Amino acid sequence: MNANIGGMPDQKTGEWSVADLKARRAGALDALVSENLPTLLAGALAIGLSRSDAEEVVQETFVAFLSGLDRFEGRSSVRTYLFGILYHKASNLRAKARREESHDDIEAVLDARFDAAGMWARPPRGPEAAALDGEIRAWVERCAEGLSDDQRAVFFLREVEGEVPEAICNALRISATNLRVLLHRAKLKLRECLEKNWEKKPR
Amino acid sequence: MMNLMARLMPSCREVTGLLASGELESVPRMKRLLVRLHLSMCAHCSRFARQLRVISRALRAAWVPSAAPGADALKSRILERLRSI
Repeated sequence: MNANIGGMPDQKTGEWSVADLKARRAGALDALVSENLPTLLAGALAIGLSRSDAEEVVQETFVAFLSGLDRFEGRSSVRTYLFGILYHKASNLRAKARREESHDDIEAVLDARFDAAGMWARPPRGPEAAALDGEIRAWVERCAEGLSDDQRAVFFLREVEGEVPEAICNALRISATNLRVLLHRAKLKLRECLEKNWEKKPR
Repeated sequence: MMNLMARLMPSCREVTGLLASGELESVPRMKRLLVRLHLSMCAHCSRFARQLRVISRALRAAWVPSAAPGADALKSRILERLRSI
């Protein structure tokens, strides 16, 4: 197999493959780390690790990837595959990894928002500006801290990385249904939180 | 005719659910059309949709890889470790 695993076929960093990594070819290791380090670090911080834990987990992710190269089947991009390793290491590290808690809270929110026919009973309020101002960004960033680890992980892969659902399910080892549920709850929670911040703001 | 439309038209709860779960991309084309139609007529749902876009943009901006100090040192450390494997 000599597939280009960089994720971007026409990248300037050149063609390097799993075989290059196995042979420890000069440049391949460097390219692997250079191309993926920023995203992995961002992902680790997005999941909620401290900076020092994030660095540790990112390093261990590369080590695990290189040690288990044979297991990489190319079904997701290297980047997403690496993120999957990172996600599982991060969850283990966080002794009290905040997994998705009982679903009741968000179901209750939905039931309060809609009537029996599914029409808005309490329509959404809050900002919807096309231009993103710093205040909204800060709100949303803080709101994201209220998500569970797995919700942040799927949001990061889907909305920030733009990864396809199949690859996300693969990397995180979750079902397609699970992915939809996690994304659904993550976005609803973020939107509710954004609206709360907006309503609290003195006008 | 209006009755038929009303019966076919997805509810606000369904529309916002499809938007939030990312499922909209994989539903049959007819359903997707009905959702678009719903969005074009429903101020509340279209506000909801715009807010989701604002949220995604905000987190994309917040979570982009930052050229944090120490990133180069981290890279060297990792490479050194990898070469020893």
